[in-house]
Amino acid sequence: MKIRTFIFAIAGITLLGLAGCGGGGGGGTPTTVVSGTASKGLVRNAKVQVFSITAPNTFNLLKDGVTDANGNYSLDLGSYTGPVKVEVSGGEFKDETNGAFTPMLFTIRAVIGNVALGGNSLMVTGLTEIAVKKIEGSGNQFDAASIEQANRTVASFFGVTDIIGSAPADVTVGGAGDTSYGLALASLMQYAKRPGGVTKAFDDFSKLLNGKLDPGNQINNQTLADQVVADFLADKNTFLANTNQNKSGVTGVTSATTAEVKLKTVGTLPAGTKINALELILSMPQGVTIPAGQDGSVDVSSPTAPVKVSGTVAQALAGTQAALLAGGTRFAAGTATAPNKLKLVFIFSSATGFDVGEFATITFNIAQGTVVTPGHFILSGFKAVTVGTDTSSIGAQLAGISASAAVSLR
Amino acid sequence: MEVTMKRMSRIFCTLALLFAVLGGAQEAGAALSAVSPALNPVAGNIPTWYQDQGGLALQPCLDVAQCAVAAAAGVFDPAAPVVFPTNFPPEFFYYSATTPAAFTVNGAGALVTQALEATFVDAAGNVVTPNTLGAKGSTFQRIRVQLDSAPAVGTYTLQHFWGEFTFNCPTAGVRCRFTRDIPAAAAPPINFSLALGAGFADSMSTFPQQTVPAPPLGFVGDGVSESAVTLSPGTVRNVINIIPPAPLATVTTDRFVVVGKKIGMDVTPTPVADLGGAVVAVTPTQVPVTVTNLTGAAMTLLGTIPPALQITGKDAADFTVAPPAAGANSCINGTLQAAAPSNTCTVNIVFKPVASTVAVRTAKLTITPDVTTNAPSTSISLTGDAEFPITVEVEANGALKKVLATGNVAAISENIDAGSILTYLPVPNDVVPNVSKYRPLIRVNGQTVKPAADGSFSIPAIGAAQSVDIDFIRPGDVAIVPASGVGDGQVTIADALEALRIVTGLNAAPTDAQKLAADVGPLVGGKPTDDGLIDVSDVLTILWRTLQPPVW
Repeated sequence: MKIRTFIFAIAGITLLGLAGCGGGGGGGTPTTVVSGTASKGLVRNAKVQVFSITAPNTFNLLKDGVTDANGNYSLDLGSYTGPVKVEVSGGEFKDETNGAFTPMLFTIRAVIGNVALGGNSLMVTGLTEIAVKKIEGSGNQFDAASIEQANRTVASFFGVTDIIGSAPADVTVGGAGDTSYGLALASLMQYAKRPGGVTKAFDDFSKLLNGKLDPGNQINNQTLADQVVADFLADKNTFLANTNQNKSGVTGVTSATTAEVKLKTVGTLPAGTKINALELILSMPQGVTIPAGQDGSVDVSSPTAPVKVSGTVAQALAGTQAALLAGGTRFAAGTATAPNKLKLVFIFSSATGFDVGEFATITFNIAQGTVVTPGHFILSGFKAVTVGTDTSSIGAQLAGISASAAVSLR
Repeated sequence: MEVTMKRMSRIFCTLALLFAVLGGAQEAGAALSAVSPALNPVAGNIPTWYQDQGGLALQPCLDVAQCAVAAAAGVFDPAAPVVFPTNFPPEFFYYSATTPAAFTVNGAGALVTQALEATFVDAAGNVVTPNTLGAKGSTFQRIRVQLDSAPAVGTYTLQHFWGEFTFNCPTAGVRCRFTRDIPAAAAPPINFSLALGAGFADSMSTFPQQTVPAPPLGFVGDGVSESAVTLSPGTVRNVINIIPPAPLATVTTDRFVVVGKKIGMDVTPTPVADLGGAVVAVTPTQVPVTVTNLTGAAMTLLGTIPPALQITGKDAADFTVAPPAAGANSCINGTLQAAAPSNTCTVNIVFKPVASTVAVRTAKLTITPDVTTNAPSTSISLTGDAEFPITVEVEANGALKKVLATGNVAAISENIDAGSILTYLPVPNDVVPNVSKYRPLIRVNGQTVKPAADGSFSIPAIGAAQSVDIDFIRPGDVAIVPASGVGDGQVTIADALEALRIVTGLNAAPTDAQKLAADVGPLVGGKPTDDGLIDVSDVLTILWRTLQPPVW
């Protein structure tokens, strides 16, 4: 059994390697080849279709094929370059929570802002499907900026470095690939065991990431979003504890007493533009806390403060009269239906603003016995805004900027 | 076979006779409601009264002064006492409404008569004078239209009080006359109930009454005045229209000479007591109803089965009977003497509508004397409008308009008919012209209401008292002054900090005024926008309004 798994893993890696070499081979005119793994978990013998994307939201079939027994595919698109959407349907997918293959009665998709001549890695997973649904739900078009922003936002939320370019590990066999990605997919599958199944799971997370899970965008109403995050954290723990299926080597059981989270912005600012304010929510298990006042306010000004400005914000503040608007950080202890949350709002009191990059370092306390991994720190609700280059569009959101969290357990 | 043929023949004859009686009418319509079973020997043994759908009963009108009774040589001399059959009119009315003398069609004289009348017939059914041996009284409805000079050949339409019919004028420039009688003259024995008109489309159903001048006591018209007439419930119209062949224009008149004599009681107001608007459960209205005894004998109103004074109908619960003002003879368990001034009584009808979304409330007051032989029960309609109060409060920095099809007007506190749909339009003042306006905070009955895309808001199907409060909130003015519950009218750092408290959740329950004030970012074209979210964009926008005040 272990030998067969090993052979499959080698075959997958070999296939990806070949795709990365240009696919067409032979020394002729280079072509564009997309290849990757379909996973919800692993999706085998499924139909794969690759579409070009032209504005506004027009999709034309370029090529189709089938995933192999390991969920891998590779398709030569000829001379096409540009944005593509890949759809995977039919076949069977592995349910990571029990290891069984099940007919896939839904479609998973992925989008990428650009494929170039040569090899292009393009994973099609539950997380990429959430990114596609996020774009659809936002009302945005499938342009490069929206695609990249959606993929990065989903990656940050699930604690994955790259949901498009990195292949997820099959954590039920301890296979090669990104273990964090594989655990996120397995946790998503665990979440899909709740009423509504896979389709509702995709909907829940895409709506949450668009801020549209709770009805009517009600002020401070995070009830359903909090419930989803709390459930997801619980489901993550359920899978981590499932020793029959979790062969990733990650259990979440840690002796760490603190977690250092470095937050950074990612993306490219428009010319002449700075970030003047941002906000985000960091959700954690209930054993992860931070010193806060009775009203939840968190100190960001003192040298010993648990939330410190760092990176680009620290640089922007140094030697200037500018400051952050006080009172922008608040910790809220969780409940039975909500995780612990840190709301962080940085508002720069100067037009100078700050650049993309690291902007805060946060130190959390971890209670003994708390199951925690980097994936237990869930970043959502990120928004960066600017005063712009004149006063006519103050507060405009910087759509191409997203955020990520790097978590170190100590 | 022969028997069968005879039977078939009899059936055909019966059908033909029935068709002739019905005059070709194909559908049933409204009709008069009742005819007296008793006959009046003084009036030639015809029914003592006919009663309309509204409960108004009329007797044969034989008073020379008010009843337009025409002289007939050798038959009836109006100057002499009316005596049947020796000095008795050959034609007289229970009711008639005729067009005035000056009524013309295309410049030529015209006459339209709408009547319930009586004549006499002999044994063969021929119309005869009352002094003819064996003459029997006969009653019928008649509508007659006569054009002294028909302006055109063709089909005309007469629209009368109770419906319409067509008639043909075959020759222009000569008299054209059409008569509809219900029933047609027939041989005795006379079935007086046929004159009720039951089964005939557009039959007479009510007796429209003279309005101004008011008819004499006991009459529905004075037989002389050319007057507008009442529009009783059940009457289609209180005008007549003659629609000639195209292209000639329709001719209309709303003036009539009315004849009719009440029997038993004269009730005022009649035929409708309008109690006007009354605020539900707050301010009842009332009108006095006066009953005059016309019988010439004492009359009592003591009955309980049926009640002497009974209110029935759809909205009977909205109306009650109450004693009259002190000093008046009450109709409640009342006695009316034979002669003035003690032959009247009064009762107050009180309109206190119950809560519902229906504005127009109707009922019927029926007065039934203890002895009805010469005083049948009579009724008047009761009507009133149920209203609810609307209280409007508008604070500074704007106005509130009530949207009307005829043009918007300033909204005020007022009473509104139940079931109405009110639409208001807040009109905020400018904060900075062409850049920003105050924002209306709309509360209906204490609940915040979001306006429609055009800025208006409606209160549908009003069925309770309503309050409308409008505050006008300055964009960005988030921090609240406790005394007023709204901001101080300025945008300061305190407002940015309060907006931040909302975003972080430190202010977990912002007021509706704060939500309205805080949702300003991002600026679009230098103007604040409300995107339905309160987030970092709003805080930054407000902060910048205080740091480097842009113009908004």
